[in-house]
Amino acid sequence: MHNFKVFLQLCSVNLKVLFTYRASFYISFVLNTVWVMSFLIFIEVLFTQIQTLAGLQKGQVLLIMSFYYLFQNIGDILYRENFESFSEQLRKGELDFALVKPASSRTLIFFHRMRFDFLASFLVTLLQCVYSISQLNTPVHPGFLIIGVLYSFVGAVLFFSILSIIATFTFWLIKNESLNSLIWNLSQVARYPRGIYLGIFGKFVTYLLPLALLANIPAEISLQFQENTLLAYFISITIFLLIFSKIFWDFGLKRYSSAA
Amino acid sequence: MNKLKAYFNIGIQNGLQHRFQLFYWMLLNIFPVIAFLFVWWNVYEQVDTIQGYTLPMMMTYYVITRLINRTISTYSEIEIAREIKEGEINKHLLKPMSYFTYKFGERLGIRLITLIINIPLYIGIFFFFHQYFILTIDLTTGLLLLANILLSIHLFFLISYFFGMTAFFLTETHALFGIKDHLISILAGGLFPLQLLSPNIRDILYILPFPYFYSFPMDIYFHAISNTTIIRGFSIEVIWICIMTYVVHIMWEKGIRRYEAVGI
Repeated sequence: MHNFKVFLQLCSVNLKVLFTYRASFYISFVLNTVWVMSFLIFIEVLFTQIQTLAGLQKGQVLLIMSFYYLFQNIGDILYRENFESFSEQLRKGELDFALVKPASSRTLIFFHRMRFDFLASFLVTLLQCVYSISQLNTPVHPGFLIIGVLYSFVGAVLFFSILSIIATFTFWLIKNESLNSLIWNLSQVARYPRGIYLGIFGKFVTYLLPLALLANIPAEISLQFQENTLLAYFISITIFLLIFSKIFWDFGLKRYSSAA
Repeated sequence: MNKLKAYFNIGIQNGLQHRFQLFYWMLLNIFPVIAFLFVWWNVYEQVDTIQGYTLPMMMTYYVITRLINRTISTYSEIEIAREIKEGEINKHLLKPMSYFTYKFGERLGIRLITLIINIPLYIGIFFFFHQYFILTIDLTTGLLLLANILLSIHLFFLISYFFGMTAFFLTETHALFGIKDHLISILAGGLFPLQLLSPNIRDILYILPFPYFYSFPMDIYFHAISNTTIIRGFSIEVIWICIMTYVVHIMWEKGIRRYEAVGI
């Protein structure tokens, strides 16, 4: 509860930053438009050649992509910038401000700087979602769509846990300046229908490092063809990785030495 | 030249400082490549060719463009912008050396180490999955590719340097870098071969510098273009290097005049 209050306080501070630098809001809108358009063009080009991708039609693939952007948007707003700067902070011994405060160090470090200017990206994602729904052959029930959106938040929590585990390795690696590109690279797997991933790699990204589930589960719920066992696994692995990442973080923190 | 060599050595040392980072970064960087390969694998279960591209050609295209990306991309803009904003550029301004030359040499050194670390992975991919790739290359094609890569390293760095120096003029540059990365990715043929686009759009894109990073070298690799087109492509790339060199020079002059450093 205490950490949640800290989280809300951080939200409040960062909202004030948004109103100080309003131009960032418009720049983020342009950035996300470019980002969404680039992969939209890719899918459109792809579907000029084929009818389905892993058994899914264009609208369904686009809906998966919409949920991918949604959990990415949540991450961009809440924690992405903090992961990108974490390595530098660690290297310079600048984590003290978080470690001496009576709150969860992980909350303070990874939610310190929130980017509410990326709220603009929700608009772009919404437009993408509307377009993908327009391409579907069967209508989507609004109730299931809302449940899908809620599961995107679960996906954001799962992705946060995965990133937290990777970032914790920085305590041993010291220099991990590529975290930004790592975040981008890992998330690419989540963008496409999970049915395309076959063999050992498919099992790996579905069960061991469940990146393939991040956007697929919310989309499958919205389209009402989710597998209940996989859904239960999705929730379970999210809870497990959230707890494990916290334990691993505390273990890694013991290696930290301040520069003060 | 001696200075460039010294900065190159600094870059190598920087790159070797944290070796394990390079190794695990190499492993994680393969994820987008694998994702794309699985997408196209699925697509080619439904069709045999797409605009003349067979499955082996498409697989080869993605893996080799990824390797080219590892070679030519410097992404110096983040580091340059950070040094400008945090005042770390001061120490470079006080020294009798060109900041551009320093950054170029340093980044080349880091790139070399990254490439050396990544090459075994790509050799492994080609070795174990050779039936899915087209790996024949003659001497002429190899030399042309090498020439293109050398030019592309220079051009990519100039573009990165240009974006990095926007930190002299803008408070927020993070989003601008993201836009640049996505635009290059599409316009260079990083997402899909530009051959999949209409000829009119392709003709317009080939006036820009970006297709010469990935699409043009792959056209050379697959012998898909004539000698005249190859000469034209190299000429356009050289022209863009000249243009960007001039633009970067002007930006530096104007940026330095605006720059304020606070000393202790």
